[in-house]
Amino acid sequence: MFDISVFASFRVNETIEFLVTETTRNTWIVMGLLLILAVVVRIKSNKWNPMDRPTGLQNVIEMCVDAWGKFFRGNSNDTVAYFAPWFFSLFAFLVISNLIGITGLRPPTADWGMTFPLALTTFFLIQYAGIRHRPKAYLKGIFLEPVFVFAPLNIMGELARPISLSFRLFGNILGGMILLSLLYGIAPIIAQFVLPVALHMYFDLASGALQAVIFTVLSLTFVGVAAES
Amino acid sequence: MNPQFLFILTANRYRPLLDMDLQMFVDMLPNLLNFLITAALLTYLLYKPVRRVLQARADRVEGDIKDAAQNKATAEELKTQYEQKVKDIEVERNAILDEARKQAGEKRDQILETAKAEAQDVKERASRDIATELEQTKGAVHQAIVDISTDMAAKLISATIDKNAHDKLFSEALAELEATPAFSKETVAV
Repeated sequence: MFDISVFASFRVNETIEFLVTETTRNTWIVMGLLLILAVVVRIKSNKWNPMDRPTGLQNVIEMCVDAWGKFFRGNSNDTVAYFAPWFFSLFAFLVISNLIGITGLRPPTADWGMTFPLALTTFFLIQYAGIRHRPKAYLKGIFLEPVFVFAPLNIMGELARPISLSFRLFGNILGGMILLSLLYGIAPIIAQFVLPVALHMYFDLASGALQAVIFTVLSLTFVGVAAES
Repeated sequence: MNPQFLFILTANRYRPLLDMDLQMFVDMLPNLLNFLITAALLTYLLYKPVRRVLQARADRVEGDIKDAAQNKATAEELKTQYEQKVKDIEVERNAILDEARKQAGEKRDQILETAKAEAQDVKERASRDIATELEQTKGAVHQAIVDISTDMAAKLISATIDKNAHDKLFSEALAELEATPAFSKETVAV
């Protein structure tokens, strides 16, 4: 019932084929929404004068970007400040992906095939930040602390991070989607006019936004700690 | 709640939700690519332009704050200089006033001295004039009395004296006159 629809497929060879799934399609929708916003902002930003009082869209966007800057500095450190745009994009993508469930579409994040690549990018960023900013200390922390025999455990701990991150997000979003689907599927028709409002508010709005925050905060905290312990 | 109207796509089959096979990881590639494209475009189309605007505003505000601080420092320096000038002017004014008072005092004393001297001169001149006038008046009165007395005596004598008495008086007067050193016979002879 909760398997992922496949709309089209492109077979590469006997074992590999690329699928256009429900996740892929809904990701395109999320991308479309974000990119329309980005293009509008890019076009309008040419006319924005820093000395004018911001109004309308400029005000909202500036508030979001400025708030993100403060949020980033509060949860990470200045050493990895160059990752702020990346995590801003990640957060925006996750928020829209999680909230899109309220329209009845399946959130892309309700697919581990979406959340794991995102968590995998975080994993690589952690390694990159650690090795770039304090290579000796970082590698020593993995392979020699507290003593070298713990290296396998440390490596497993590192590898567990993307799995933990991805399953936390995937499980929460999928759980909310399953609950709402069950409600729409089995509840009496009269119950479908009032009760879903509260459930959508929690599972799509509150939980969706919360999970986006948790994923992003954990990611940038891991990266920040790796760069500057 | 069927969202199929968004795309003319119909599910022809289903992929298992969590099937840990190679296909699962192959399906991740387009998802990862989609996110990377989204992140890149969001960064370059949205985040950086907005950040530039915010940075420009922050720089401008910081510049304004620095200017304000500099202006404040300049104003305080000017205020200090102004207050010092006011103090200097006060001192200079007092000095000028003191000098003016001193000069005025000296001038006053000088004027007073001059006035006193002039008054003394006037007074002395007046005294001399009065004395002269008095002497002249005295002389005039004396001459008038003499003239009147002479006239009265002549009239009285001419009215009362006879020839004998006249001669007798003339002789006595002549004798008295001759008795004085200025009109003695020796002096007259010389």
